Order: sequence, then C-alpha cells, then structure tokens
Amino acid sequence: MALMPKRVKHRKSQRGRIKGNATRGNTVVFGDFGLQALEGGWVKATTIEAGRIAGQQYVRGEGKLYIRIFPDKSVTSTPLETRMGKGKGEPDFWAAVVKPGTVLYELGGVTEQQAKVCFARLAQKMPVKVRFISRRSV
Amino acid sequence: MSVSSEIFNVQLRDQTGTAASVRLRRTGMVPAVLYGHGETNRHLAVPMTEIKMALRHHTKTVTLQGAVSDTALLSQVQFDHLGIEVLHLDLVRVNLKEQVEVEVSVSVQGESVGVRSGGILLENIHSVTVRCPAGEIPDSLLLDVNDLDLGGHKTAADLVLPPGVELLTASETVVVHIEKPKGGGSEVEGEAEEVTE
Repeated sequence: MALMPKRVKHRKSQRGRIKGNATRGNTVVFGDFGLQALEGGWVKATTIEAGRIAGQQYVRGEGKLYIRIFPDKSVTSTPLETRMGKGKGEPDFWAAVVKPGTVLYELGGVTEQQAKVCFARLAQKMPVKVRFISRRSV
Repeated sequence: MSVSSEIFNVQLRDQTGTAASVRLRRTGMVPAVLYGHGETNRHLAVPMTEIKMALRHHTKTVTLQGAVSDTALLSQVQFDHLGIEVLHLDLVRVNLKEQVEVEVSVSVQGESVGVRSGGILLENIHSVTVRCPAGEIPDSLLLDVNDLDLGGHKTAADLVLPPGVELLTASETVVVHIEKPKGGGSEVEGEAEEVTE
C-alpha cells in the first residue's frame, strides 16, 4: 500500500512552485548511507513504494531501510475528453515535494559496497537525479 | 587524541554580508568568525584547502596564524545544501588545557554474536557529548560489541573513555542494539521505516 496522509484539512492543493534548495532533511540522520536528490521535483507515492520494494528486496533483512520523504501533496487531474470548466479535477495521486539536497532514503546496518548496489537499483526508479552519500562524522 | 596539528593561515576581512561572502568564496577563501574568552569577535577568511584538510583529519582544535595568532575550537561548520562545500566556520577561542564540551563520534568495534546469527546491528546514536581538555579531545570513542547477542544493546556507559574524558550524555542512552531478523513471510511487506523530520 502506497503512502498517503491519514486525514487532510483540504483535499485539493494548488500546484505550487519548487524553488530554492533543501535547508532541512539534507543530511544522513538515521542510517549510515543515503540517497540525495540533486534536483527538485515531485516523487509520487507509488514511486516511493517502488523504491522501497527495490531496496528492501536487496537488503533482505541484512540492513534497515529508512524512507525520509512523505507524499503529503495531492495532485488533481481532469478526466480525458472533458470539456473545460466545471471546476477543479479530482485528486489523482499523492506526491512528495523534493528540493535539491533532500535525502530520499537511508540505509543502515550494511557495508558501503552493499549500500551502493542497493541504491543503484533504487535510483533507477527515481524521477529526479540522485547521488549516493555517506554519514558525515563529527 | 586530537592535537592542534592543523594550522589555518587566516586573513582579516572587513566586509561582511551575503554578497561579500559570495565574492570571498569565489577566491577560494571561506568566511569565518572567531569569538570567545570575553574578547571582541573577529571576522576572518580561511583558505578552503586548509579547511578541507582539517575536516578530512577530523581535527577539532586548530592553530590560527597570520592576521590572528590564537588557538581555536572548530565549533560549527556550515555546508551547502548538498553537503559538499563549506560555507562558513565558527571558531571559538580556546586554551588547550581548558575543559570543553564537544561531540565525539562513536566507533563500533568487532563483530557481534547477534550479527553472526542473522541479526542487524543498528546504531541509535552516532555521537556522544563529552567534557575534556581541549587539547585531548578523542577522535572517536570505541564501543566493543563482540559479546552482543540478538536483542541485546549497549549503552553510553559501555563506551571506553580515555583518561580525563567525562561523559555528559546520559549513561543509560542506548548506543547500539541488535535487531532480530524478520521471521518468514514476504520480504517486501511494510518493513521500511518511515521517518520524516
């Protein structure tokens, strides 16, 4: 089951504009390695789920995968062959708004080599350019 | 033990603010500020290469030469949004014999019994706060996990502290634990942890 909010105040949101860089959620916090977005975009809930499955199948109980983004934006669409007007369309999917620098996934309990292979599989699914990062020690 | 081996050849900068800092960074220097010990703060420019060297060596205290002669503690390092370039440094004047409170990383040593039986070794916290003389800040604190079994954990009290180092993090804080492997079933069903800040 793809991620989505349990309850929202407003069912439909405006499209918005992605500007600026990530000033929070841009470092590895929970695991040892991470997958960082290099450009902004929307990541659909189904894409996050596809990435989770790809990563989980690789680590298979050896490590722990953390999802650092949540799809809290509803995106609406109007059905095909519909005349203009008649108001805003119905919610179509949920997406997470990603800015450059956002850490999408983290992995702990595995070696760097394993993490690189896992994130390489996972990166194939992502709609934004990503890079592999490690925890910065103090 | 970390010693003041890194030397920063600093210059004074008279211009502050965003635009001046951007211009400074283009010349290969990084804006920094030096404060502490009740003296006036100084706006400095530090060469990027020397900062990168200090970060690579996990240096905590540095010797300042050039426009200012002093010893300082690397208090805060600001990075860009991708965590690649250093944007700004906070330097605190320090005497190498005075007691300072710093974050020191935890280094896990050994292969635990639990991991050999299929468990996952997870680090709950990656650094602890300690108080020690500024000239004797350890690079990392060792934690031996050889005897850790499935479901077991090690707390901050189990860390090996060098002489003169006092632990400030609560001693009962769990540092690492071994998670039991998930039993049977589908390997892709709801196992990833969802964490957002």
